Amino acid sequence: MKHIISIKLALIMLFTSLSSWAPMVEAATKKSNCESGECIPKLIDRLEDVGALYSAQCLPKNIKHEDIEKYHVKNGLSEQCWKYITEINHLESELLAHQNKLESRIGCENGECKAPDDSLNSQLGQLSKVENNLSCNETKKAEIRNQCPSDLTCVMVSSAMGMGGYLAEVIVPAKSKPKGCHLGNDSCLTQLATGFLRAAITFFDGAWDLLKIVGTKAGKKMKQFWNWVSGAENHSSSSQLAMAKASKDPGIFDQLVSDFPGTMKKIWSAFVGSMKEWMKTQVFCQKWAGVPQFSKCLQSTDSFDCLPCKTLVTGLCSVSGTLVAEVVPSFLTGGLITAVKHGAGGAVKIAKLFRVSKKAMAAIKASRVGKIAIQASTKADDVLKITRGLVVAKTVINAALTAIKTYLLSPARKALKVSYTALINAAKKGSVSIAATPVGKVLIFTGTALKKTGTVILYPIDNPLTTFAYKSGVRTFDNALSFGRPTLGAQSAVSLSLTQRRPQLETILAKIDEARMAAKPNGDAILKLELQLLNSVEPIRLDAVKSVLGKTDVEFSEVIKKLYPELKYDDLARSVAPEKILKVERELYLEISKLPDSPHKKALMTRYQSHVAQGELRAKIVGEAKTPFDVDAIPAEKIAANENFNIPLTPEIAVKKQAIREYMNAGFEEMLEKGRQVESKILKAKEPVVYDAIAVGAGPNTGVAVAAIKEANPNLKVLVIESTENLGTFHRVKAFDINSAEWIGNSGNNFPTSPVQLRDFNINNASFPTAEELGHVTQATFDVAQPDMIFNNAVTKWSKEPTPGAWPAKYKVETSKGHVIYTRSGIITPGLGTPVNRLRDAPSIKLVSTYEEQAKAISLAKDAKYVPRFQDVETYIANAAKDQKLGRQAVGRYKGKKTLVVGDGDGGSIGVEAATGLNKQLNPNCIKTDVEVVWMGQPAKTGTEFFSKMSQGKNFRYGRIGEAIDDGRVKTVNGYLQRVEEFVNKSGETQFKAFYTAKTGEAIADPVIVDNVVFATGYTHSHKTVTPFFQSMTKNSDDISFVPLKGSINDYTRFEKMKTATPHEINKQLMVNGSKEDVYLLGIGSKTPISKRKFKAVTGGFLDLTGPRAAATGKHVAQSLAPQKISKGKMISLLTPAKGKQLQFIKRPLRSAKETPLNNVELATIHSKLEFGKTLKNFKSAPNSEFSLTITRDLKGDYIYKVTGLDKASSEKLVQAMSQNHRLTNGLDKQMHFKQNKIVVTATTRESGAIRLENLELRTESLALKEPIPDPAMNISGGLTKFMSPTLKTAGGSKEDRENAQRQE
Amino acid sequence: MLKTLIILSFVVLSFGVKALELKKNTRSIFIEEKTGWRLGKDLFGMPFIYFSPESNGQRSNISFTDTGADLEVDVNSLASTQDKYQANKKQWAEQIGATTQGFVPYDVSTNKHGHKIHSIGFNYQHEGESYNEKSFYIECRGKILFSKSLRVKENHKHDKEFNDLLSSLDCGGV
Repeated sequence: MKHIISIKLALIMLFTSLSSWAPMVEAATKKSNCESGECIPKLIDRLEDVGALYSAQCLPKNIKHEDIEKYHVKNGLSEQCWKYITEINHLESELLAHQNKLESRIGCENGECKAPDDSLNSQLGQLSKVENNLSCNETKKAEIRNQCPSDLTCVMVSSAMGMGGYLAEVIVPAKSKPKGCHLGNDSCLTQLATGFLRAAITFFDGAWDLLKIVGTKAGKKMKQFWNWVSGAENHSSSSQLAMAKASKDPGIFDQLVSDFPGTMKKIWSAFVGSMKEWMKTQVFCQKWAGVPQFSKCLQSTDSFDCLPCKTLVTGLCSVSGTLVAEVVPSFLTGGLITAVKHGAGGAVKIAKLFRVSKKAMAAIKASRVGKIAIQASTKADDVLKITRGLVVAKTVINAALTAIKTYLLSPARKALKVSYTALINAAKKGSVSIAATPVGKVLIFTGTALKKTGTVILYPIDNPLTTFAYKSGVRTFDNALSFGRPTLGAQSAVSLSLTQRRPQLETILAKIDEARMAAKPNGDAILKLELQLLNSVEPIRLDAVKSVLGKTDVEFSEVIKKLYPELKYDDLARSVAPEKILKVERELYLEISKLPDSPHKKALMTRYQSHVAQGELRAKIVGEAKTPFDVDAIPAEKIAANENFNIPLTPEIAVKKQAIREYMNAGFEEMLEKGRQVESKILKAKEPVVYDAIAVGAGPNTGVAVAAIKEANPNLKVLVIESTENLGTFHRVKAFDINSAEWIGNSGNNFPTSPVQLRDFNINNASFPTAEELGHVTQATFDVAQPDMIFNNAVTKWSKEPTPGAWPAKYKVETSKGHVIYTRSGIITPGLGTPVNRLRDAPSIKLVSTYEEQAKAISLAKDAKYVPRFQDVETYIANAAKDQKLGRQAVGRYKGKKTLVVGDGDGGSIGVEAATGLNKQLNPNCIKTDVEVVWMGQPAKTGTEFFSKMSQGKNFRYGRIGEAIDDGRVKTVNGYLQRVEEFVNKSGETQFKAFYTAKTGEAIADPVIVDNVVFATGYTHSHKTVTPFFQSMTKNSDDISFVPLKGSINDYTRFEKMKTATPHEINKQLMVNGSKEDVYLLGIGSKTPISKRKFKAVTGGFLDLTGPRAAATGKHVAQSLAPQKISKGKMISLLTPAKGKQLQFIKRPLRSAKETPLNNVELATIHSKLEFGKTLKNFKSAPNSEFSLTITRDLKGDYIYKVTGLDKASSEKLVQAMSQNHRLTNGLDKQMHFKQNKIVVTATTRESGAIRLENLELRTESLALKEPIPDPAMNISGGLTKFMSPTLKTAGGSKEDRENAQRQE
Repeated sequence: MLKTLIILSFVVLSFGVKALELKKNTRSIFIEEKTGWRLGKDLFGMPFIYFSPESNGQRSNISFTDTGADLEVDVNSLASTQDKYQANKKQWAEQIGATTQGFVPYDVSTNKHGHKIHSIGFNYQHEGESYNEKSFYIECRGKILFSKSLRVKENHKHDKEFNDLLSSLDCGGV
């Protein structure tokens, strides 16, 4: 039976989940929903009100039905009456639609028709059967009560027989066991009964067995006597107390003493009954009046009453030991009299006496019996809830249907219907006109009624358009039937936005609406129309949505329905590619994001998110694709920021920028001054100046590498040698945005490994970073790292020359100013290096080389000849404002001039932006410059073509260039520049002839003549710029090469794609004569595989890629410089002279006394961080979280780890990983003396959840001052506890513990 | 052995006190038979429980069990580890909903038949009534005999009866 019920219930549940039952049940209580007819009364009220108005105002009193048509033909229909009758018609349609739906839901009650399986009646029928089976009613309880004694006797007999011997003799009736009792010896049912009987009858006898065994073995040495007798003590105490209590009632006492086994059989059923009651009211009480277990149970689990006794006993199988040990004593000592006197009838009283430990309580709760009862109870509740919901729904529906029938049959309604039919007939018979009469406009049906006509349109009143007009809110003739042209007068904002752009859409919209309003909507027809709508709307919808979203009266549902019908995720969506759906989802999201912040935007966004949220419908179309607002997607504000790219600089921002600039300039002056001091010290030094690392080039990548070195070991001495007075190419360039195809904050130029981020300086918060901002970041990075720096020194020679007194330096470095410095390692970051372009002729190369020497890269700002008149942003802003005030265009004096930009990469794009005035920094007000640009190398001929070849990110970035190509400001030439000739034109101005070839190699005869040339041709990543440094290290420069430096950048990048399981090439390492040197090449000069194109390196903008590698290299350098332990053998081999040679000792001065060796804690920190790195390499937790790990050592010498800030699983994982690294904990202990200290490690996790090792902090805290050394017994996370004897864990120990201890003894 | 028992029975009877034989399997012990007391057998697995007449609403009782354990008890050890007994009793009291009221410390004495009796006790309250419970471990011919007395607080007069019974207890030999 139970099985059948389960199956039925499962079916019902399944059916419920698939059908609309749950909503139906909810609907019964929701007023706004009409699923169960809740809206009907209101609808009928409205119909009756409008009907009454119509009858009073539009028909003569007491008019006969047959005269109504005549009346309308003769008198027409006033505007107000037309409004009434159309409203009535509309409301009635609505009412009838509801009626149909409700009737189909209710199904057939009287068997007159076949009820659908999903009708309420059918569902109720099924549910009532299930409910009946599940619910615990009185009849069922009585059945169970009657069945229980025989079940229990059966169990008792089986148990007794299983135990055999004396017990079987006294328990089992002489005749035989009861009929139908087929329990095997191993039956679970027998366990509890056996336990009970054993506790009651035979346990005491066996309680001494252990004592006998131990006594024999231990003799006088037995120390644990009281432990061995505890079982017998307890049993005798319980039994004797039970008997003492039983003696209060002479009859019962006599019964027990005379026939103990027989009495026990009787109390057995009382025991089970009281167990049931106890579990029902105490263990599984659903609601307590106060403190659980100690207060009154307000709501018990009544399903226990209907639990067959066999099921109860079986379900308690797993806890029978616990029950016997804990429940039986309290049962016997407290409830014996009641049990003997009342049997199972005393269950309620006895149940109150049961007391068990928390552990036992938990075990019982977890036992199968609890689950069975609760499950049955829950299932019954569920079914009951559904049934009740359906009953309510049925009542509501019946009431609604009655109301509908009453209305439909009402006399008043009949008159209205007749009137409406008459009007339709009149309209069908004649033409419908509108007449302007002295009493207002009147709809007439024949010319005969027309006394004074206006302009008339022939139009049947019941055509779809008028119906649609009514639905759209049209309430007057003029709006509904615009004279001569049937357009919708009062369209919604969305409809208007469409029909204004494409008038023909009005027809499609009307048709769709008509199709949807049909009594039996034709899905195929609607789909066809919607496809038609989609095709027509697509080309104009972006424009339309932009115009309409800002309107506060726009309805989101209208936007979806008419502009983005595919986002309904219905049949139409299935006919569209999923990628396209995702694209338009995003399109709409972006448009809403772009709206200025307001409640309207918020409301729209909320509607959007709830509409596009992950759901079944959407999943069917696009699978599990993320929505545009998913966490990992690009935040709306960033997109909006990109879209707002052209926002002019406000005076406030200009002021802030100026403040930052002044601050940074002052800081840089300090840096230069400090550099001069360093230089002076080097010059004055009487002993060799030795650094741990020398970095060549002070660009951003060097900054990151140096910061990584200093972070790993702040005591390492680092010198940066820079050939200019800049910190990299862009440091002093104020006029350009950074050449990035990514979004700020999202990827490009995020400079992830720098201690300072670009966003720290990007105060616009709505733009790409500028070159100046990158310069600021670079400067701030050096500020954080605090290396020694010298400027205006180019490295001229790098040699491997051991110099006495320069130990342990390996290299000697010479600069253009004649400084000689020594170093243990080198980092070379040559930056862009020597330009190599596609020019083939000497003059062009010379020209370019000269230019490059002056300005590097594409910075026009350094050469007045090529540059607009402004020198910095402030000047430009001032001039632009002046120009604007005077009505002049910015950079107007270049009007009509031509600029050639060579190169179609990001650098070229920036050049184009600069020349055309599309660059925000150069032209914050976006005034057209009218400077003509020739873009060589750019294959796109049109803006569309330009866009099509770009990634979406670049679309954002260079979108305006496409427009400029289309409007002629930019002309593209798809070829390679061959040479450039400078000449003076007839007007005496200097110009250039730029000769080029087609990309096929075919020479083009006519050169392009331009006024300016911008080279953005990119640079090779050969090592020519640095190779000469090292030529002194070998006679043959061929022996100099750069080999891949293997490492891991996983800790320095947040781009999963860049992460690898095994170390891979991060940068280059110098190799001379076949052996690796401690010299590393960073940045774009290091042949970092950035660009797929051969011989092309990028010009800035990709610090996300080079930065992590630079940081990883810095870390590598720091590690290689860490103190190395040399083995004794190695030391001996180093000190042993070669055969025939003598060991020479060179007197070397000690290093500066100022240099203090690393103390223990610092050393430990370094080593520990390395070990932590290894140990926690694969550790992952919640992203961007903070946590701390405290390591202490207890008195026994075990390490104790305490974690805060992580979830349990991660904490355990962390502790486990830590516990397994003995090297780490031992190392820590040696260095930090755990007995006096505790170590606190704080760390954060990355987006990926991995530990951010570079932020790992290690500190010690004195235990003596803070807290006592932890007691091992209190430790829960590791250490000794797991090795402790169970008996030591808690005072006294449990019975089980004691038994274990006994066995051990 | 049988001879010894017969002689002992004779001696007891000759003093005018009736002896009660508690025989389990082949082993017997003898205690003084008390007037009005009732002997229960095999109740809750305990072979013999001797019930006093009803007094103050209840019958006091004392059980006798031959544990069969063959050992000599180390007095010092029993005294020094009696906290284990107390801890166990507290736990038991908690389990049945009783309140511990006190303990009777371990003691050792010898009855008139030369049997060494180790005793320890415990007082508790259950359902409003105070009980005195005392356990006796009697060294009986190399075996341990267990006895436990229980009475409500008010029935202190039964202590004398219990003492008589224990003092008279004889299992032959020493």
